[in-house]
Amino acid sequence: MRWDIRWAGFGGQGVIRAGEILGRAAVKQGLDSAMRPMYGPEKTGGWSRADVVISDEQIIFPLIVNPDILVAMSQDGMNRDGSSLKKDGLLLIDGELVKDVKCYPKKIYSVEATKIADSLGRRIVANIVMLGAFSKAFGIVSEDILLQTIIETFPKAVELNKTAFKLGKENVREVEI
Amino acid sequence: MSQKGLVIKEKIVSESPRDHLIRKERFPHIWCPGCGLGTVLKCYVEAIAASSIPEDKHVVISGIGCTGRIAGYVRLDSYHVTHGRPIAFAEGMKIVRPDLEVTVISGDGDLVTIGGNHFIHAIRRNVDINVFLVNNFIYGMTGNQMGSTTPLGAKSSTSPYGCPEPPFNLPLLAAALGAPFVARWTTLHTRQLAEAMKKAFQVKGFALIEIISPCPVGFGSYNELREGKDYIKLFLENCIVDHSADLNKAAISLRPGEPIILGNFIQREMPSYHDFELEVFKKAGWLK
Amino acid sequence: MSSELRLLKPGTYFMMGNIACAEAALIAGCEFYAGYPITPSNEIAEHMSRRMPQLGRHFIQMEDEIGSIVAVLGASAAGVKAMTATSGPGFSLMMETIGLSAMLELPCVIIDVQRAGPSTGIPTFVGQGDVMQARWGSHGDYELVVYAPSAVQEFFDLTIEAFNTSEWLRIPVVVLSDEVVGHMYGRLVVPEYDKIKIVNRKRYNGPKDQYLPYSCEALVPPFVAAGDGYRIHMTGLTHDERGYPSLEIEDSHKLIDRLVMKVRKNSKHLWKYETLYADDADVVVVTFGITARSTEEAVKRARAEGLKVGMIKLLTLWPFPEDPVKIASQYARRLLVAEINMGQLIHPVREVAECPVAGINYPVGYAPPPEYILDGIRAAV
Repeated sequence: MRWDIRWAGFGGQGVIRAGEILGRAAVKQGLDSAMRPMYGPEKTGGWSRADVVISDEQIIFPLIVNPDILVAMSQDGMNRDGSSLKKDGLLLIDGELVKDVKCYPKKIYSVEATKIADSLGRRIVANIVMLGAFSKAFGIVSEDILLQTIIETFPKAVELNKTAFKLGKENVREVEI
Repeated sequence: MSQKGLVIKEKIVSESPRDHLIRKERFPHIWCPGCGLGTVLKCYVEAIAASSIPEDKHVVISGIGCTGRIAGYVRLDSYHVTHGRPIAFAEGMKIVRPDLEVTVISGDGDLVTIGGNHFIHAIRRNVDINVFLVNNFIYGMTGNQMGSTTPLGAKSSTSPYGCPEPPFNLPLLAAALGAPFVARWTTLHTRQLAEAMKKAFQVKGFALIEIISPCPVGFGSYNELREGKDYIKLFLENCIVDHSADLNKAAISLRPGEPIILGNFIQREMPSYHDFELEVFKKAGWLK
Repeated sequence: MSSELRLLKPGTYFMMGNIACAEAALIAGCEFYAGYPITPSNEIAEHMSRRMPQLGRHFIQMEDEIGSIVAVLGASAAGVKAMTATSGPGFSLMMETIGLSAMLELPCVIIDVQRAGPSTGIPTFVGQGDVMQARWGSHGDYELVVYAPSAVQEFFDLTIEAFNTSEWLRIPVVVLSDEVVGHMYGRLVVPEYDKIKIVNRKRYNGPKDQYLPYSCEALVPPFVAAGDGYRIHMTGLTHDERGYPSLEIEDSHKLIDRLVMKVRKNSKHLWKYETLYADDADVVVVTFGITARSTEEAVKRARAEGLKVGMIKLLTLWPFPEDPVKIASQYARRLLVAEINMGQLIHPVREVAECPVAGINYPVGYAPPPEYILDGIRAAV
């Protein structure tokens, strides 16, 4: 089984870091993974995208044309990448930042990741909230391994990230299309 | 330069005590009659013999041009690299082998025209190398074209109406970049030149000696300096030794009445690239 | 911190291609890195700037790419393994010095993370337009080895291989990566160190008066470093066995013959490639780098459609692996060459192929999707 997962957002949201963590967790679990970061020329605030492929077989083509799952952390990311989502694909959005869904997914999941991160006083953990939501909504990678990978990635902010991950899990909702 | 006290001993010897530092099997050399490069070579081997550094630790690196051939005549570890690049080559070597005494001997066209970028950055970094830059005001080997050291108005094969650009003032440039040792001598000032070379070996950091050298067959043939003795006369009449000269006035015009200022202009202690790198090693945890 | 004061431990990682390349260089024994900032190779320099000093090794950011590769040769002349990394525009600037490396027989490794060209092109997008430049970029007759990875693991493995080959043959070796392989994260397995082959250049330690630095006795003469006491002379001029400039045509012939033959005669040892379904294929796609990943997917889909298609993934581009391509061309009706350029690798393929050859060319910018390669295959079958 191969999953093509596209994370889209703007620079500074930790989109690429989230993709890296997801891929690393998959490899830890014994799966194969590839992650392709892409971003615009702006140093900050430009568009940002992480294409994560996870597979239980060796990955041949490591890039994504039409993802199975789109994670949109910004309206701009949705506008840019929404149309690439596979027919009957799955969508996860930051419900506060993405108001206009420009694709036709089978299911939409929503979490107000940025608002939750703000409530923790650190907007930069929005990507970790999103990973928690991702884990709850789609699974794919073991929750324990994913959380462990997050902890190893940020050894200086273990509690904060644990909380962010947990709140993401708890607050993600399937929403009406 | 007084002639007083000059004693000529009428004895012809077949060997010089410095012969072991010369690749004599490569002679005759390629340099023209009246060229100053033989003198530069002699001063270099004298300085090496007089230095306390073992000969095996001396390395010489040259680029392309008449001066570039010096590397091939010295019996030391010697490297003759591409045009303009000996300083960059020397930097790589010195950084991995700080125990080597790395000297670049090359021409003006090589080091400050095509290789000018490496020149300024090596001084800025203060890499601990010696650069003996032989300035003959021209590209000799390729057929006497002008370069970045050709005096304004001087003729050459590519400046038939006189060089339209002002030249570099190299001591000023090197001093401004922070070189810890900057000197200028001519090939007439052999003792001072060899002494300056010895000093350069001891300097921690970048040491520059600009060596003004005759090129009667090339530059001279275009500029009324057709024989070696014309240069000697030029040097004798125009050179002023002033170690504390104002380097803003050290540009060489070769116009009558405008002096060629010589001296060991800058001698100062400062941290070298090696010192900076040791700091990095400490911060990285490699050194305590 | 202290765990960083050593080489990357054996194990499984999820790592960016450029960083895997840098860690591989450390394991290979690289002691000196000189480079100049350029996208998309920057992560290599950034990583080396942090890691090299942790191991007591040297990192320097030079004033340009010319200075970078020349400094690399200076370090190599002092006897250490040295490297640089760049992309198209910087690679262009390095060409003259690649010839110097070949002529002085100073080993060095050059990583070219290819981007879209020509000229400044699109720095952050992928291209495969440096295939011919890597082989023919410097003037005169010389040979070198060029490897092309298609995955993070291969980037790691081939970087170590590049050091080994450059040390063995005393030549410049290029790892021709690309923006996708450089920036992509992928699975990386670092084997136990005793399973990793490390080659060091053969050193001369015989009598001083008998040393000929460019002896033609063997294809690769033994090396002495600056400071070893042999009073070596090296010159970019055509030289005799002593290393002295020579105008004798015989000296020139002997030298150039050796510079070329040390690679050509070892071609079969240098060829690295993988074949897939090539034995019974009507159409065989020859490809490399990230395009090989698209092609493999396309070939598998084509087989599922019942098309008799195979592929050869070249990991060595130069010396060009003639035999596998020639053999494939004797059985196949057609060879296709897939590459992100307007047709470069197709030329050596045509030179050896005994059947018609066509290109699947994808203009620079993106890696071709498998569907694009599959369309090319379908059109050819």
